[in-house]
Amino acid sequence: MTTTLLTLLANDELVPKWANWNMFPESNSTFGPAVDGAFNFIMWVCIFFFVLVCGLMVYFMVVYRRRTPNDKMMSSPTHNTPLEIFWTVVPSFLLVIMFARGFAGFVDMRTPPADCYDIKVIAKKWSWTFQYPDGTSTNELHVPVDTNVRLTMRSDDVLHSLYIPTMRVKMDVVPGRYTYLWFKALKPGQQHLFCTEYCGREHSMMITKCVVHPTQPDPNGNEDALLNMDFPQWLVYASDITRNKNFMTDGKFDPVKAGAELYKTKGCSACHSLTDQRIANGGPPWLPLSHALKTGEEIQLQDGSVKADDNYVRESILAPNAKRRTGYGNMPSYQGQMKDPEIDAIIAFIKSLDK
Amino acid sequence: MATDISTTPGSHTQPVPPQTEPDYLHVSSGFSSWAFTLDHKRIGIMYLIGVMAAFALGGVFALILRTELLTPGPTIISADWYNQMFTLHGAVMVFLFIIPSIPGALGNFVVPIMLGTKDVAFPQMNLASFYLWVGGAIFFVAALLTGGLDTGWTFYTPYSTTTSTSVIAATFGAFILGFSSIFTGLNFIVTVHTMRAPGMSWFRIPLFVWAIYATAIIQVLATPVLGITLLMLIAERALGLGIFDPKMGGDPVLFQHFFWFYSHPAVYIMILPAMGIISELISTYSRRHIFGYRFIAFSSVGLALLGFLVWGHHMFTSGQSPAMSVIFSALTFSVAIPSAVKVFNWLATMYRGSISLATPMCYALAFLFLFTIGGLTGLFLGTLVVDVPLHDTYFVVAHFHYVMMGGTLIAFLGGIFHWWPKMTGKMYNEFWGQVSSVIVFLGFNLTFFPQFILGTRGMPRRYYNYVPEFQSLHVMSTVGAYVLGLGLTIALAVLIHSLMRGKKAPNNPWGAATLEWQTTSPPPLYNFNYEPVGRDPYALHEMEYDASIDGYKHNPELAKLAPAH
Amino acid sequence: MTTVTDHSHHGDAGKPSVGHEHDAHGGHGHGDHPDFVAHHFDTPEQQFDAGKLGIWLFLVTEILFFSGLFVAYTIYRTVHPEIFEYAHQFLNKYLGAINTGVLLFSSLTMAWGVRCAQLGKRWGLVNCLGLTLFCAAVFLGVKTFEYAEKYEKRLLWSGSFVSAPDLGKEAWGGKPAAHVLHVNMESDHATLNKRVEDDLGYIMKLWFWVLMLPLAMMLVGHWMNYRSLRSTGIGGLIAIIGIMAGIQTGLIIHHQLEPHGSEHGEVAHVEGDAHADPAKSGESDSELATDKADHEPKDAKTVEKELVAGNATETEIHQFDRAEQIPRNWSVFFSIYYFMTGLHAFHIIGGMIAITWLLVRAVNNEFHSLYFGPVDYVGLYWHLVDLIWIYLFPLLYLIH
Repeated sequence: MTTTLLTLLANDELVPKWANWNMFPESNSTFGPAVDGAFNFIMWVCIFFFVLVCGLMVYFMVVYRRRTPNDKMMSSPTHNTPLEIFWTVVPSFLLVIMFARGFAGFVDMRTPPADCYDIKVIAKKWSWTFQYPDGTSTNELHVPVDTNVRLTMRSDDVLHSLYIPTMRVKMDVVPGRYTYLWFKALKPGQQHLFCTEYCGREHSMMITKCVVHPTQPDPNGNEDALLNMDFPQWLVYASDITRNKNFMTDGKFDPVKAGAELYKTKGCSACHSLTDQRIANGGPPWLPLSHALKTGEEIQLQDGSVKADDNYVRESILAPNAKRRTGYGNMPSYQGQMKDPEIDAIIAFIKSLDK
Repeated sequence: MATDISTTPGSHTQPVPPQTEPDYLHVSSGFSSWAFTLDHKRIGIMYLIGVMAAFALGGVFALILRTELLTPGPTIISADWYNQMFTLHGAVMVFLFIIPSIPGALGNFVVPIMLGTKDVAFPQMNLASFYLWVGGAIFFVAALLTGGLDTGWTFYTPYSTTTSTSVIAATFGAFILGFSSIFTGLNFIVTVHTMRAPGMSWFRIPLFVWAIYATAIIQVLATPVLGITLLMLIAERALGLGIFDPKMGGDPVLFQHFFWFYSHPAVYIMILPAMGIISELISTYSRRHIFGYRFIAFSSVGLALLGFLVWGHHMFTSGQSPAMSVIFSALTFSVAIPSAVKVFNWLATMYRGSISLATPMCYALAFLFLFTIGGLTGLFLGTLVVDVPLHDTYFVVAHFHYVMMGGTLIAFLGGIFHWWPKMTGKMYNEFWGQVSSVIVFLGFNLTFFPQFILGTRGMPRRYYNYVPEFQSLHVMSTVGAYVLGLGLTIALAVLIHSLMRGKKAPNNPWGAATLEWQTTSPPPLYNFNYEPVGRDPYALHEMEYDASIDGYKHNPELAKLAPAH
Repeated sequence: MTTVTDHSHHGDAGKPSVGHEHDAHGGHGHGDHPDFVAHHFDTPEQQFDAGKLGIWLFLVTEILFFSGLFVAYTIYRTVHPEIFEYAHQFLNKYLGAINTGVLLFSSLTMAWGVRCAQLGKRWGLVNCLGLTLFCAAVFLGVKTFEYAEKYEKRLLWSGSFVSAPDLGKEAWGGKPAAHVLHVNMESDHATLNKRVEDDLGYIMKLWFWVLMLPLAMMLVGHWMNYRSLRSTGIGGLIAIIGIMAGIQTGLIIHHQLEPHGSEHGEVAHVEGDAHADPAKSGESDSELATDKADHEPKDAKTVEKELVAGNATETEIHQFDRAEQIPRNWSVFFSIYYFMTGLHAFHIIGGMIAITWLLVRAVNNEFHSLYFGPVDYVGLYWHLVDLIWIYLFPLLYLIH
């Protein structure tokens, strides 16, 4: 009997349409039913108690209003232990249901499935960077529809928080550790993505979009051509850094700007400094290299020497250990991880260092 | 005044000789008689003026914020200013207004008289508490003048350790205010334990005193943790301590744990005294013995203790482990029960009463309405899966304003109107008092109800800029804020008018049975000119209206006619 | 004015009852309301109970205040145990142990003082309070030595910690960071001690001047036959002499102990040569990895460790550097050390002020068997401060 009652209370299928009072924007993720159902359930509990309390309050105000300053006192109890125990215990059952529903959905939210599409999120004052497995990075979040997506998030500076209302997900982005988030979008389209942890002046400008791409390209779907691409199509499009809005100066692709960003995102910065100081156990600093590229001077290798030019840099990126400089160790190859425009951008960036 | 007292409940047999001594306001005069006073009533009055000034300041900040939010993007101020405004609005309202308001102002004035004692246990410490408040306020103003403060009142690291604003001045101010709060709480606990009048047993203590007592427990137990947290934050900024700094292997989330370990119980520091006031008001203006005295008293203490176990519900999306979130969610629901019990008891008190809609009662009823909404919306936030989308949105903003402002502020106003005749010896204009309560009530709902919808639709808090689809609700909210401001201004005008033109207050204009209404209005320096004796503080049926003094008198004959229990 | 005499809810009908005058707060001394009972209390018992409950509540706030720090300590230590294991060796556990003993003894003298106050033994109380002050000063004297020594070595909180890469950059007023430099070099050691003693000597000189104040008060009081001024002077004199003797004793302890007790030498085996010429250290790093590695493997490795340790904030988070021993962020240990012991020392100073106040009142013969509350309360506070040290000592000094 209790079980039946609980099922009824917890089964949102049985809730008629008129009784759906959830105020969230329309859900677009698999979490929708759990969140909205719990919300609606609590809403009705609240409406019940609100009407009860305020209804009685107004009723008493009217019926028992004071007529004279010395109204005859009506007899009434000053306490009633069974009644008080009743209204202490009975609402507790409702609270247990609320907790249970919240708990069940929450565990689901915090347990990413095994087959997730992984996207890295880097938050910093005041922008989002989303990195896809192929190395592409964007400032808007793009995800395929009907796919489990996991975001692995970190912050470069202060606390941020990633919030997509339609997906019903939110998670703080904390410096010094990774936080995770997953969801599965149900419909293609674009929605808001907010930063909800206060992070300074432009906190309210950290609004961007979460775009869900359809499984099939859909040429007639939307005015925005981007939204009509399927996800792989979009990824190819987005991986072209020359189209990246972040790397534009006056509407044109700026390779130096792109190179500066790639220097950080591709991991160059871990070993190569931009000054003439070598990072401990790191690779050659870039300022002298920049100078060498300008003047075209010879660079000392462990066996022989080579003229500093674009080809030398390109080879050092793709096959770093073919020509090793005196006093330096190994570097991993970036073959297959960097496309030509990116290598061009890095070279342009290095050249720009020596002013 | 001499004719006011013919019988007092304390001395059933012997009438008190006509009073000739001056009341506490006239016993001495001059600046130093106030600045160095040890009288709890004068300290209470000074607190009252102080917290009202702080409230006015915080209120102006709030109006600036609401005006800015009329349109998306810039309206009247820059983003930097907006961030400073909401930070200072929060910090001033929380640290300078809500926390000290009821205990510092009304509690100081009323509690010793309710207990039938001459003063609090440590009058010097009481005065020190007030001056620490002043000191803290000075530091806040200093922060405002020397670079401002833009961290949010929560001072979350690492933003607070890296921003260029005056975080150290402000946190040091909050640190000092913490000691002010501890001193107040410590004083009340000791006073309640050791200073009660003869016959004032634990269950004859008025519920307001129970609430203040429960509050004091939190003040003493929680505030030191805030103190050390703020010291660590100061050290983090000034010396590079490293404990909260991820670059030094520290953990910024640890700061949140520390902060909420204090600041969640602090929510009960803010709301419990308000609940105490409501218990007094509902009972007095319904002319009914409070229903379920012990349940209310114990629920206050229960809330105070449970309040220590739920801080993690502020951090469901902070990156704390899911297991912790689950535990904190479960504990959070346990807090809902004592609050609900109180609401039911207040309703039952009204049942079959003789309900007067005097100004304090209007505020008390507004409290009941608003607090019910505030409390119930807490259920959404305690439920894990629903909190995830609602956390850090306007839903939370609306929720805590319904509890803190709709709850504490409204109760505070009700309390001021209730005890005003006792504090000043003057009556106020009843009609305009009622008008103020209605306008405040309407303005409040217009301001904050749309924010529930905003938050559920996804509007994050602390946003200077927002997406255009939220504008209409923001406009409603802003208009509401102005209505609210108008209502509060009327309330203030009513009080100021009463000081100048108010007619003389009788000793007991409301027919209340607690001890402070049995002494003169205003009371003498040592509170009573007879030896008070503790008795049932809610024996309202023993009070009899006497048209000749336009107030109530204790009629021992009526005690025998007690309504059936 | 109303006077009510039948008023004995505290159960002791023979005790003084209310009889206040309404002249603000000075209404003592009327009839049977004794001087030492404040106007708003009815009986001495009520006053004592209120004070006792008050001080216990205050101690609860103190415990919670420190417990916040202990929690922070515990969490940081759980996450980074290696920092504590490594860095605690820079604390001198012998000095810590002596301080523990000194504080324990001061708790005894304090408790004894409370007993004297209860029995009304005026000079017994004065002696006990003087001894307690003396112990407090020994404690602070030793503490000052510890602080000063670490200051000289630049073993400071994280924000001012001098990391190895900064060596020779003369960031610290031209003095090199001694904690890497000095070890096993007798001459450096001597200079260091000299500096520390200079610091302490300066503090002693200050105290000597402070001494003039109570001396003057006593003389003026004696000359003008003004009793309370004179006893204030005597009390202050006893207090300051106790404190100065304490600091002196602290110095002697350090003298006796330092040559044998210091462990620093065994910790950071960094020879002077890598740093003998500070100007060179900037370039030495690039060579170390390759050139020196063969000849002096141990030293080079250690130096490299230091370098990486100081530089590591920008790279990924992991517990140890590639080179094993020196943990990253070990300066945080000193942050915690200064914060905890500093706050504790601040409480010691607060206690000393309170004890001095008691001492003056004791000389003035204000305490007796009916009124000894303040001594009792300060005593309780002092025991708490003692207790906190009992926890701090093993948590900071004795880590294994």
